[in-house]
Amino acid sequence: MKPKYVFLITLAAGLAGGYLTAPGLLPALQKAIYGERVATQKPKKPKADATEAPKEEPVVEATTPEQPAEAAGEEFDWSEDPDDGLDRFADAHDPDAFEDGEEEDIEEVDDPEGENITPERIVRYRRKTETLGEDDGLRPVNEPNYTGKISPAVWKQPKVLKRRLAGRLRSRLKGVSQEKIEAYLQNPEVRLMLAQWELLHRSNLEALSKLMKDRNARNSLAPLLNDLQWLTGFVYDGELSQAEVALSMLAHFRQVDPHMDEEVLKDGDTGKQGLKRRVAGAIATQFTRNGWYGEERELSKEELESFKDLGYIMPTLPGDKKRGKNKQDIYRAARERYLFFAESIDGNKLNGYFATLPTWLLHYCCGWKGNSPFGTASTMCWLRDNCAAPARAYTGMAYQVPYLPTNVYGDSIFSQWYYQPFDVLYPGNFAKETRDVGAVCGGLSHFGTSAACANGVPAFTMGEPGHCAYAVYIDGEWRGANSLSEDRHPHWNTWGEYTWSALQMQTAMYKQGAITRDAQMVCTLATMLSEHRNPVNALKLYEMAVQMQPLYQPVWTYYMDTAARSLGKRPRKWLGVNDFVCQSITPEHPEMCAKFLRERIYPTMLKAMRSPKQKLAAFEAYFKNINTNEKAQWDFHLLLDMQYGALGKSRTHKDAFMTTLVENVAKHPEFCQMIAWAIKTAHGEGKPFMKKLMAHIDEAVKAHPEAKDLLSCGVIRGAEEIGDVELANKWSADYLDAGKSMPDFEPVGGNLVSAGGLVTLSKYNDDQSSIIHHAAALTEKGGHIYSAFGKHQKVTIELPKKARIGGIVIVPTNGCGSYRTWGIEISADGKSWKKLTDLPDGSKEPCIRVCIKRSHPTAKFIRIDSGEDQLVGINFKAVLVYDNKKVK
Amino acid sequence: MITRKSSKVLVAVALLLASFADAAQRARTFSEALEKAGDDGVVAYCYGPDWNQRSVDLLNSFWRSPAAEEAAGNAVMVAVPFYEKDTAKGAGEAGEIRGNMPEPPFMVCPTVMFFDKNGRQYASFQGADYLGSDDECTEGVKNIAKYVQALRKQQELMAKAQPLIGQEKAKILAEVADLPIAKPNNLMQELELADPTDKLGAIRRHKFDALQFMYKQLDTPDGFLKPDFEADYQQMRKDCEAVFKDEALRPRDRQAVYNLLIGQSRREAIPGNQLKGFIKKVNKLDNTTDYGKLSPTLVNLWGNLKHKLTPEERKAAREAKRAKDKEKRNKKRDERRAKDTIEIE
Repeated sequence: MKPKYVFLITLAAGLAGGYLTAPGLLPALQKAIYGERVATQKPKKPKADATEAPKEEPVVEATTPEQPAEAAGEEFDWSEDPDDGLDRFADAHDPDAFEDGEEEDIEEVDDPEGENITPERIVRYRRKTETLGEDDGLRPVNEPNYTGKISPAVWKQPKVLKRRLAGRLRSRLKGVSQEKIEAYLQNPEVRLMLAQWELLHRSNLEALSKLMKDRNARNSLAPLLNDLQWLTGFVYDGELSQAEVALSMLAHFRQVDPHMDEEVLKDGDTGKQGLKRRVAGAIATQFTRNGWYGEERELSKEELESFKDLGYIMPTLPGDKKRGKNKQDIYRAARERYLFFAESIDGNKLNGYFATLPTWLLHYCCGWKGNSPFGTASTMCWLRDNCAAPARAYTGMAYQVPYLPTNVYGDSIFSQWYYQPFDVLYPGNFAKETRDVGAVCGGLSHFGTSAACANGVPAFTMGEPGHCAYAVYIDGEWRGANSLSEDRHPHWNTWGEYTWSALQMQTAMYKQGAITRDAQMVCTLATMLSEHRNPVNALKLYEMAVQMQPLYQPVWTYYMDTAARSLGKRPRKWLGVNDFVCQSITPEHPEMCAKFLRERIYPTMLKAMRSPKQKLAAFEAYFKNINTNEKAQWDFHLLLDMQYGALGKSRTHKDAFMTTLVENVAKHPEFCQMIAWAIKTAHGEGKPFMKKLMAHIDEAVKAHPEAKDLLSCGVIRGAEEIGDVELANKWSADYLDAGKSMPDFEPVGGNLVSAGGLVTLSKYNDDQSSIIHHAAALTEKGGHIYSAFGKHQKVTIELPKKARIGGIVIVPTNGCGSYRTWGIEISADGKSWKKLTDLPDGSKEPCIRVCIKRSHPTAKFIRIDSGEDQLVGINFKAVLVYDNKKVK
Repeated sequence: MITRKSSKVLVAVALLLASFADAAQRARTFSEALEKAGDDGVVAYCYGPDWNQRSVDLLNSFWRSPAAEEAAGNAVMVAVPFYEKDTAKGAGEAGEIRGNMPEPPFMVCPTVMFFDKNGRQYASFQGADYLGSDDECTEGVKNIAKYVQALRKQQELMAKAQPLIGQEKAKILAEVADLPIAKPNNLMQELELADPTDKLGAIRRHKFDALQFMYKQLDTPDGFLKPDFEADYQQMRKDCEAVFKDEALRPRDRQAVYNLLIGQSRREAIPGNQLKGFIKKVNKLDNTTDYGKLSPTLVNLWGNLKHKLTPEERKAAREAKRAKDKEKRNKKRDERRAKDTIEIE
């Protein structure tokens, strides 16, 4: 037998048995194979990409002197790789070389804990996180300073390169146990290859190939793509979609700024090294991801020529059909943004904080709304030069803009005329125009955000009910600014969902930068193995990645997609996964965990579980792990409905569920709205069930007297929603003497008939604590009724019994001035309503007295509508209803 | 005996002394500056040592330049650091330097703040718009001189007004009020005493609030227009014309008031020529203000707005008017009835 066959057999046997761990053995075998394979090995499938490899023109090598020397046996010189080398490598690791169902022989994980995810593992990774230390999110991931050796020419064939990288990565992989993966990730070359593979995985390879065939483009991109620190940030620190478009944009940046790699550094100012590269990456990523265009206009001939010369691929982005030929504008808007930051960095004009920002935070300030007039380079330039402030001061920067709903011409901010006349005075500088002309909440918040971003402080705008606010990243956390509510929805985010909870989870994830980066790389490796038909090891690696960083949302999606099949109908395994999710995500991020359970775990897990006991155990894991004091201001009822519905018809199990719920809410009374849900649900189950629930709540109050007020809020809200006057009054009895100072007012005659009634609101405020004062607000002592903000918020008073109305007194908490189009309606049955009267507009009085002189209408329900104004809700100290009888 | 050489030396010394006679002094802390301060008060430069390199660079190129010193006259100059993290406020070196000095109106750097010798802040400016973009901050130097001179003028006028009474005093106090710096604390009360009937119009000028005038005309307490608001155009025009004619008021305020009339005229679709006339009047009053500068644009934008109704639109407008009138009548009737039965206070 010829030596080459001996080697091949040894290789196959060695891989199968997992014995090929001796250093140098595998590379030696590879060398032997590659050296002689062409003549002997038949390709299993024709390799179109490999055969198309054209002859390469001379290229400049992009390497740095710091490049570590490698063991000679493991060296694989990309730049000197001849065309036939591409073929050989591709064949040796061709995914198609494996038959269907056959797996590559990488050593199986040595897993003493079995296949299940176990809480012990979480502890292990947590410890590691703790030793690495959580910081304020401002410490960049400490990737080694390593430069790869792939020559620019190799990028011309991204498909081939991707396959070669996969082969190379697999050849280096000695097993998938935790220790081996940790050792594997120690190698900077491996880390770079993983990032490169991930980049290719996220690219349209044909489009990328087209881009890389342009010599200028690939020569300017090659140094970036070989830079471990830059590439890992580019690939992993933001949601990279259409990577090839982002790369074409980067090539454009490098052409307009040939000095991208040469920051003007002062003595000891090494923190800024590579800053412009990272800024360019962040801008390209965000502009591509969001499809932001600059101002729509026809491009000049020169611009068109310059784009044509570059030969860049034109992205297909949202709105392309509408915009037609102006697609290139995306480059202009992004280029302006890049040049603004490049000039600011070189001129030392940004807040000192900026140079310390890790890449994920650069996405916020550099990638800030490319489609907003507040995001143009000229506006940002003005803000940089006129609103430079310490980071902490940006929460107040919005107030430079006067709050003026109507301009000097009497035109409303909601009309097209508001800024129109002034545009000529402020060409291209919308921030200054806003500051001088005025705005309402949206303009104020955009001004504050843009001022922060233009000075290198991360910020973004966000929606709140009927309001626009913003958030600024200061001292390791997002701080609300110009904010009225905690019900916040970011207007954009650097990746993932646009929810406050998702943002908090991402922030927590990036704060554990090193472990997150490792988990992301393990996830890449798993995806790569999954593509190469090695699902068993892929699953193990996904599992490892979720254990390493459970807050990394995308890996859960990959993991669950891969795991669903293997977990199948094995309830215990599902329980393990469920417990792991609940332990690792619920404590700080209950909303995200609930969403994940609903969308990714329960649909399959609940089918696999037949025993309600197991389901109860799974549900309990969620409640037990809540460990946050934040209010539940999200759609928790979707989770509770799903859980409750899964228990079937068994009253025993439903009762057990309610017990668990009540016990855990008593420990975290900020979730008191869940008690309201429980009451509403129990109401539908009949009186005995309701009685049991109330007994549980009584017990919980006894066990947690400190939670009594909030639990009472939950019960009263539940009672109000089911219309149970008796229950609401029973739980309000202790709060009737709230001691609110009531204004003096002339009596309207008659007897007070509202006391003992029931209050309901069309939309409740986030601040649940006022609910216990609803009953008192129907008495002359006064209490508090507080709804959400927004148009036509309504409070309905159900009187204890029908009465002929003689008068009504309304006492708003802050006087009547805020109410302009409010009114009163009455009803006998709570269904058909009749207008009683409109109320005076913007009265300066502390209360309104409505005296009915003649035809006293009979009513059981009184409803007050807050009117048209967006920023007003119900905020009353008292609503007092009197009859027409003689005072007793 | 004075030789030619010694006479040259003497001349040089004399010139040097003369230059010192009007040269700013420096102080390390704000308290020290106040102690040293004479009539020209204190000029403070706020900078961010650990977060704003530009303001640090300007310490040498602008703040310590002879031009800035000359502009500050005899004021005491002090550079005050504001650090990124303000936890040590009142403590440490930065706290010592700042002492009781208030923060800039918006914590923006660089900011130049002006205080009289009693520590009363009378002016401030910040950002490139007022400092200029060049390293020497030519614009900033001019502004320092402008405010310091305004303070001198204020003091001079106040001293002049001191022994006077009645209209003579009022005239000078009115001049003080018009200076581009903060008024002395009791100036308006003194002015009211000197000119109780406001013959000069200075009290009216300084108390007039164009925004509140507009809100009153538009019947809105907070600037949000009511959905069913309908202006009484003739009344509004009368009121605006009256204010516009009042020469005691500042031109910008008079223009602002007339702008409301221009806007309302556009909304009422009055003939283009009339609208153009209003716009030109604003320009004629003062073409250096923003409102004056906007006039040509407004003529282009709104002066030629024409909308000829189609027969269908005319018919729809007639019907809408009829319906509106009917609704008004019904509303009045309902209100009358409601008044008989419901009394709201």
